[in-house]
Amino acid sequence: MRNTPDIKEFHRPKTVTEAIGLLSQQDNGTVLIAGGTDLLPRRQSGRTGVTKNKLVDISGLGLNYIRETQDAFLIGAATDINTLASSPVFKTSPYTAIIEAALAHSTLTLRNRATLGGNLCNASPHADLALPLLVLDAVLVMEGPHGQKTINLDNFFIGPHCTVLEPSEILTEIRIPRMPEKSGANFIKLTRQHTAIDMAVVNAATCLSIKNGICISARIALGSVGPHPFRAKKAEAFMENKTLVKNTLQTAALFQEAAGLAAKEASPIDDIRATAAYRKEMIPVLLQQSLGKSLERSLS
Amino acid sequence: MTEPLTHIGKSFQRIDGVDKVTGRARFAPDLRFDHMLHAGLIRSPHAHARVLRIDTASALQLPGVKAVSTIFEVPKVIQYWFFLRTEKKKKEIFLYDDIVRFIGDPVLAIAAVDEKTLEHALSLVRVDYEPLAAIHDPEKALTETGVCLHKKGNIAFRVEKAFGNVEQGFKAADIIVENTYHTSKQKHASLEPIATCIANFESSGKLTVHSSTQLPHWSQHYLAEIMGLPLNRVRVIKPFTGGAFGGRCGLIHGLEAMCSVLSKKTLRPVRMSFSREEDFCATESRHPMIIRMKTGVSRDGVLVANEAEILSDTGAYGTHYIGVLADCLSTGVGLYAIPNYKFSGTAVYTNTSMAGALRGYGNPQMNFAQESQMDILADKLGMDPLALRVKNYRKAGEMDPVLNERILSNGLEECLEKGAAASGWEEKRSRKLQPEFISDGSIKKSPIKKGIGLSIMLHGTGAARALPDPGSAFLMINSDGTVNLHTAAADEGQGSRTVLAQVAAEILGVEFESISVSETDTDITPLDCGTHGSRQAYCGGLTVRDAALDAKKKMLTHAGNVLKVKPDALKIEKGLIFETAHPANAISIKDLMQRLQIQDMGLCTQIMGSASGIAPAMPGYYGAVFAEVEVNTETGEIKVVKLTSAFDVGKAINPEMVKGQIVGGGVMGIGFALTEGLIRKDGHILNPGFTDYRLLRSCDAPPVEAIIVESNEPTGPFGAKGIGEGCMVNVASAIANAVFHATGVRLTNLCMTPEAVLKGLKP
Repeated sequence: MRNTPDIKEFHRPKTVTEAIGLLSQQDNGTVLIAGGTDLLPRRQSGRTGVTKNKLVDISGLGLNYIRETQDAFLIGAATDINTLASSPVFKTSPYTAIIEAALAHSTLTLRNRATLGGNLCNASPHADLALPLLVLDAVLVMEGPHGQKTINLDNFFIGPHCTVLEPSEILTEIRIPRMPEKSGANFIKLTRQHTAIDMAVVNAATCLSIKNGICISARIALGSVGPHPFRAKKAEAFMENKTLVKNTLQTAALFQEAAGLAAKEASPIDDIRATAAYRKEMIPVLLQQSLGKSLERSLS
Repeated sequence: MTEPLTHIGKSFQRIDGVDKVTGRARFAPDLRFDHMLHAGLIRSPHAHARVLRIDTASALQLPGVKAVSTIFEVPKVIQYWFFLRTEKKKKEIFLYDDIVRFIGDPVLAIAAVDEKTLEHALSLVRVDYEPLAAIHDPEKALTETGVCLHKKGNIAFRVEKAFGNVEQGFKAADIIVENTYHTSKQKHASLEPIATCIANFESSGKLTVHSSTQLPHWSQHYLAEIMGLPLNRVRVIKPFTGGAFGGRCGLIHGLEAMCSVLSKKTLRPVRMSFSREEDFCATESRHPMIIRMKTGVSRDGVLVANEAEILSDTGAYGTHYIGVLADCLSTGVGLYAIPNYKFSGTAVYTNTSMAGALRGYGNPQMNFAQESQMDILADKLGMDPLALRVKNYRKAGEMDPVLNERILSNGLEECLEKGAAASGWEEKRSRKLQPEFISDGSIKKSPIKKGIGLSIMLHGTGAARALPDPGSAFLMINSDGTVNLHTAAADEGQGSRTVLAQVAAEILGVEFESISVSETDTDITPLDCGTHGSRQAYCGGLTVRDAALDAKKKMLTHAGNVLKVKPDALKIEKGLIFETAHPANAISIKDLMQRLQIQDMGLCTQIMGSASGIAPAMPGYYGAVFAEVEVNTETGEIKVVKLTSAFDVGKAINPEMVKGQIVGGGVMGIGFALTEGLIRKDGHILNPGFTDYRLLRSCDAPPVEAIIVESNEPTGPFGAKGIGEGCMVNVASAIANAVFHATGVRLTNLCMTPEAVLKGLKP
């Protein structure tokens, strides 16, 4: 607490190129800052980022936008969580799961500062926004000294607070492809109290696409129960091609089985918010609810 | 009092309310002085270690570093007990040694010109430790012989008391239940961080200390001893304070002592303020307890015997361990008329931050066990838990065997009646079958189970039977008829200054606005035990009442001379003194004071009233809490939907402020039950901040319906007694009982976790 080193340099570049230039020149004492809601507390508590004392602020790069194209939604990485939460663009199914996760992310004041890109790049095991984006097959655009590249969000996280992003790269945009008609998604979060202020004990998102009563695509993502947010692919595969009819015992049994498979894919740990055993037990509880909601939304 | 009351029972606005909401009120952390130095601490990284060597040479060479003091010259004040009553006690109070006993135990303090230099200097200090084996588990402290925290061993205190014959009592019992309860290490988590002090040792030899203490005169006495100063050379000023809850008793972890020693060395004001993290890791908490309780009842629901065995974890140093166990005894034995009661308590040292006073003072732990036992018994008897309480509680007129005092007022039955009516107890309690409404898909029942539970409590007002508990006040009537009231009845935010002004205005027959209440300052306010034990409306109220009566008597004597009647023929209303029989024969207080102080040059006297002493009793105040919960049987989550809290406060001098206490206590009680508690591992505190030390926020808090019951305590000022602590005491037990009603799961550990609920639900 007392040993947080001072910030030595602070840069606020105007363009992405300039920012990449700064990142490339500097030694590994450099770190990007957007909203600062993860970085600053982590510095203060002596965890990650404490040795990095040269900050490159990316709030001036024009990366705060939400755009629609014919086949995707494009979100600037520096878009704050509240802008996401209040965006009319995401008010239709299945994109409402983004709004649900955004509202569950934190309090209003934090949401005004925290950014979508920050939530992803911080790569916390319980990052709320990662979950709807995982089930919506989001693609990340990254820029670096050698140009632009894209990667599926599913391949982005590699460990707690660890991603494939190189030190000289910047996440600039998140692309969400348009989903098939009759898709429904949901985000769900269990906390110690019933408010958005807490970090998740378990969080999850699901997305189901239905055609002629058959599940043509299923996505199930889990947070807080592994080293990073991840997709439960065995459970997803199990759901595909199944006939789903809402509020029937058969479908409930399918959801139960899928949720049980997903729980097996998780590797939670004990921490001060909950034990591993409790987390594991909660995964099926949450997923069954979430799958039920997603199915309902896909049909409405 | 047959006359209608003009100021008592009315919800006057707080006299400091506007200053507080406009940000004008200055709290200790806001204070700055010219040439002020900033001090900070090196704290032990070890749970138990011997300090071998302290190297401060490079820190002292740093420009801007002005002084260093180590544990060898600044004592740890380990015993706040008994107001330095005897020489023997004094010796035990100050500890200078080379052992650190918990992670966060201070080793040395540095004073520097600014905070940046201070931080740099602290990083340059080298301390060599010899780590020692540590004890983290209070049960181990009982048996461990190889590790010794203090010279006298690991057992700080033992007490045993027996009333009647408990063995025979259990023989006569038809039902006996025995359980073991565990309670958590709760923190005060007051709005203002717990400790800030600015000490200024002047070259004249006078020490002035601004501190957010709740017992300013205790602080003054301890500082005088430590600094070797006469009391008139130690001045303790308490600025506005943002809540205390027992965490600011006396010296706040020796903070004032450290600042005073550094200030004496430098002859400059020295400020130190603990961060929130230091507050969570290294200041006092509630005593975690393990309570084994065995309770016997006859078939018709009469309690016949009770046995309580308590293990209390006082942490690295003992401050309030005796009082806290004594409170378990007095509230446990006092609440119910159980003829046979055996009580044993043991306080042990462990290598963790120390436990101390926290709202309720042992009672919330004891009540959790006792009131859970009562609920279990009611269930086994097939009896309404409310009826079981009414049958057994100690009623007005009965003797309290611990205090050896007759109970003069007890409004518990009215609390139960009004609380039951307001909460819909009967209807909700009889809802034996949980609502099995079918969710939208006709698939499964709702996982939400609803329940309602109740519990009652007794808490003492003040500490007149337990320790030196003085109260004093004086007031001056000015030549314009206004009044200055001087009292050290430290207002920590509870509103005592407002309440005491109401008492003075009532007695003197002046307007509320005419009373100005002093700040707390040991140079100008007379000896007072400060704020603890729910005492200020009662003890403070009594001394202010008596001081006002003293002034009034003097005033009427002079008025009688002027109006040519006997003083007892006079009355005062709205600042006007008049002859009761001939109201036209009158003089205003203002005119009388003008005459006494200025116009009559032969007199030139100011009317002053004073009173000092100990309260005549420590009356119990009572309350019933009804908690409604919803338990999710899939996730184990417990949601408190509503609290209905009915409390007998004797007489509510300011009803809105009483309700404020009840609501606040309710919310703190829910925290104690469900979310608050320091999580520890090998002596480390894992949740030293509000992210993970989960205090209820306004958005988490359910409605709390506050009901005031007035039993009119004959010894109290206008019938008043306490409220501050008691309203949080029996919330956890009420919630545990509601969870049982909802699910059939009996939770015996605090905090109650979702995981424990699920475990209980499993066959």
